[in-house]
Amino acid sequence: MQVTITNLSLAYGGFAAVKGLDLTIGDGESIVLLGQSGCGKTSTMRCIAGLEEPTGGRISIGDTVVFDHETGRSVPSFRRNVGMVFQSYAVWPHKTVVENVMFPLRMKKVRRTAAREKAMEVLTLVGLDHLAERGASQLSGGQMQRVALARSMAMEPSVLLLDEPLSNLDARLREDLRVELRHIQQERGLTSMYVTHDQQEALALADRIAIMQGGRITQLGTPEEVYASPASASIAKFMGVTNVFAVGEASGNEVHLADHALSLRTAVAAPDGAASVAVRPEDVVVRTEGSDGFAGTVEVCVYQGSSVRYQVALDGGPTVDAVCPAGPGALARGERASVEIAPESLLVLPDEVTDTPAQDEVAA
Amino acid sequence: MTTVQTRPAAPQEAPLPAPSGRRRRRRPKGLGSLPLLFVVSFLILVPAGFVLLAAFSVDIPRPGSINFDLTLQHLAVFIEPGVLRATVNSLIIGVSATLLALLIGGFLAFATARTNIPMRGFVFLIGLMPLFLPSYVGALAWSQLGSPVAGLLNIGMRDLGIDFTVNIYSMFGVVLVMGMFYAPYAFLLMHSSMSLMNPDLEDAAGVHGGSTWQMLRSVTFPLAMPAILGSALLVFTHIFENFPVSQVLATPGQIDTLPTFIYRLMNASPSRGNEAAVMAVVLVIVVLLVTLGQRRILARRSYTTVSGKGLKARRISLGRWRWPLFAIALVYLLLAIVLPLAALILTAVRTSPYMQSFSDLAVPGAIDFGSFGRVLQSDLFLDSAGNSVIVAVVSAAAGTLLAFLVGYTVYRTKAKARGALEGVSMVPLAIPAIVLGMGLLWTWLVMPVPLYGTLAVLMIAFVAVQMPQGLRGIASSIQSTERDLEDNAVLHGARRSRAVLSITVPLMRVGIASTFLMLLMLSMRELTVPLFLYTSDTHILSITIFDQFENGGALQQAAAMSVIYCLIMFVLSYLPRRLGSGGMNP
Ligand SMILES: Nc1ncnc2c1ncn2[C@@H]1O[C@H](COP(=O)(O)OP(=O)(O)OP(=O)(O)O)[C@@H](O)[C@H]1O
Ligand SMILES: [Mg+2]
Repeated sequence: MQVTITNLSLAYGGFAAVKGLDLTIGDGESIVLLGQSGCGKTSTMRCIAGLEEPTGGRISIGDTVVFDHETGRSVPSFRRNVGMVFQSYAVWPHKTVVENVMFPLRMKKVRRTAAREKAMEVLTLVGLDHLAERGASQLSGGQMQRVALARSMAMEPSVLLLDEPLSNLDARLREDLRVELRHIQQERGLTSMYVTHDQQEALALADRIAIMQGGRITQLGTPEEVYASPASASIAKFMGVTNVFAVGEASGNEVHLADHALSLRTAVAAPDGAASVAVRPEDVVVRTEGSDGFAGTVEVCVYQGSSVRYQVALDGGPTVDAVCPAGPGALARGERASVEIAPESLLVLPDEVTDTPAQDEVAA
Repeated sequence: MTTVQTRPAAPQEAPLPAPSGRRRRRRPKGLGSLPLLFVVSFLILVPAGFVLLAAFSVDIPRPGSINFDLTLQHLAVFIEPGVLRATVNSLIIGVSATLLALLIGGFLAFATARTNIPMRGFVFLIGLMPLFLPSYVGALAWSQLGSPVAGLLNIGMRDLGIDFTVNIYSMFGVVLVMGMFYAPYAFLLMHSSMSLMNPDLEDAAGVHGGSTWQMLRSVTFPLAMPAILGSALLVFTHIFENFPVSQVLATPGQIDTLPTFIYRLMNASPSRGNEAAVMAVVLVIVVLLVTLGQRRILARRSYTTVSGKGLKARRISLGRWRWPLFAIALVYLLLAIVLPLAALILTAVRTSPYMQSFSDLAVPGAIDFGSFGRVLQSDLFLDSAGNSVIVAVVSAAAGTLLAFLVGYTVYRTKAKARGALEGVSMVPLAIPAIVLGMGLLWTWLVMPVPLYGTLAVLMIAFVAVQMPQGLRGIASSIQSTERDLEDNAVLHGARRSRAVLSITVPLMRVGIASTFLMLLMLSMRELTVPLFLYTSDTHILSITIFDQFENGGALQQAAAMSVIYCLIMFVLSYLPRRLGSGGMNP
């Protein structure tokens, strides 16, 4: 069901954790909330679930207003039909796996046998039917995560909230479960909100990504949009763009770096207020000395399998990160190199987003 | 155990695989732990052994003649009328008072840990406060309040024209007093379990459709269950073996319990020690079984652990029930602390022990606060207080030292006797005080050293009885002190004993001090064990107060003394909490 959040605020004591947040999640859409630790992601989610009392704003799920500060209306958590997978999973250790999954059904007064059948069905979906009678305290992290997911799915929630469900798992398992989660979400058409601070996870799971900074959403768009054109330098950094340089002066298609005697060419004229330029490491081309571009020295060289990551100190300029395909002609530490940055790949950005972005059309 | 080395271990010797160096470093520890094991076993196992021996030998152990002629004739005590009654009574009292203690403790724990009850800190204090009052002082005070004829409550109700009589000399009375005074143990255990609960577990119930009540029923209480069961068994053993409360409240009402039955057998003339020993063995078996059950349950208490992100547990809003529930907590405060203290003070200051109505107090001269002064100057008080202080200080110091030596050996060395040492030290937990008292009596009557009848025997008894509490206090402190610091000193050339004295002991000073104070307090309040060991020359405060009330003669002085005693206990129990690492747990 569609979830509409308008001007949501939440303060703990005097500290504002969420500041006037607007967001609409379309029916069946997967929104990923991406942001640094402490920016208010969990708080937002807890407001939707009804676990925190917001200090302002309005939340509606489908046609029901579940919270409205103005009218004082607040539907208690257990009547909102919101599923939530907690970061700590919160699988009840004194119940068996199937009892955990049956809980929301039993709360909806489903008969025991019917609830059990339904629970087993969902457990089969997440691949845990063989552990149904196991005590939940004897599960591995990945299994618990699935139980938590199954428990929330069993209630057929209007919206499913997932709070960094993969952050406690090892890298390998994370990747497997990420694909699986996306599969289940798409197959079942679950309206979901997913919290993470891992950009890879965000790109993989989102229909749209909402970047959250300091209690507000500063950019909202498809993964491609957010990846290709971050709205600010800080978002760019967060999206894995390591080469971000302060701009001193811009004239036409030429920007001069603030801290270095170096200027770069951009594809479009730099707008007013441009404060930084950014370039992805993948877009930086490193060749042996003598080619086009800036001259520099390779300082660090890390072999990554299919690619090589360099740090090149430009003569009289900054140190630039680059990721190049591995293969013949790779450079070694201390070698001289030429670094080329195509004007099209250069992003000219403000430091921070100051005004809230225009809401995109709600994805169907 | 500090190692006794003849010369400093040369630092460069340590990494060498030289056999001589190795042997020298290991041997002293092994040797050190054996004498220690011997001392601890002698203190604890010998008395227990004497009780067992007395149960199955022809005669009780006497000086110069330990009787090894075994017999089963004393088992005949089982068919004696009254045994069954006493056992049933003990069980009924044990179960009902435990339930009451759980109800009180659980209510207060839940209210303070998980709700927005008004003045939470104060309610928490209400839960703890009865710990300051030894249960027999509570019983004595309640005997002043609730005796059917002269009880202050009954006089008050008669004054008000209420036709109702409280009879504290009844099963109900014993259960009420025991339940109230053991509630703090249940409170402490349950409070920590309820406040450590991961709030996500409960939030998850809310999100998945459970109302607050369903959340409590299906998540919160089941999660607290191990703690509830564990404290139930702990409280049950304490109540089941409790002697003084039964003696004060049940005996006048012609109700026998196992401990009072044993006491009467011992004090019969001629003394029927063998039969008492048989009953004691029964008591030990019950307590032992329950203690084992408790340890198993507490050991399984794994799922209340907090996750890294778990913040404070969520508080439930009580709404309009806030103040009514607060009032219930106040009622407990009133019954467990305020009324008993008021009764003691009133008994201490009124000049005539007979009172028909509270209006009698208005008569000039009916109230005289001078009794406190007179008691403070009386020889009886001064002697008992002096004895109490000497016994408590010496036994607490010796107990702390012994606990430190045992704790160090158990937790810091590889001595073979570690397991045995820890096991033996914990034995007194499973032996009721009254049984250990008997055993200690026989042990020190039989020993060819003239200690019986001196204060020394009381000190030895206290060290033995309080070994488990001492070891626990020291253990938690040792385990939280980094051993690397001490090892580092040794690597830098200090002897092990030197390193222990100059590094480990100073680091543990808070833990050691609070263990000492805890033992001091326990020694000051212990009544049952010295009951068999004291003589007219070795009165201590607890005994004197008990004696005076029992013999009824000097009620006023007894009450005044109890009030002063309570003040001392309060100060003593307050100090360890101030020092942090409070080890009030039984
Ligand atoms: N119960 C609370 N009381 C006071 N402040 C809180 C509370 N919970 C969170 N905060 C504060 O609110 C801010 C947002 O917290 P929130 O948990 O929403 O962050 P988050 O984005 O989920 O971070 P993370 O990625 O680390 O989980 C943080 O600065 C945090 O310190
Ligand atoms: Mg969070």
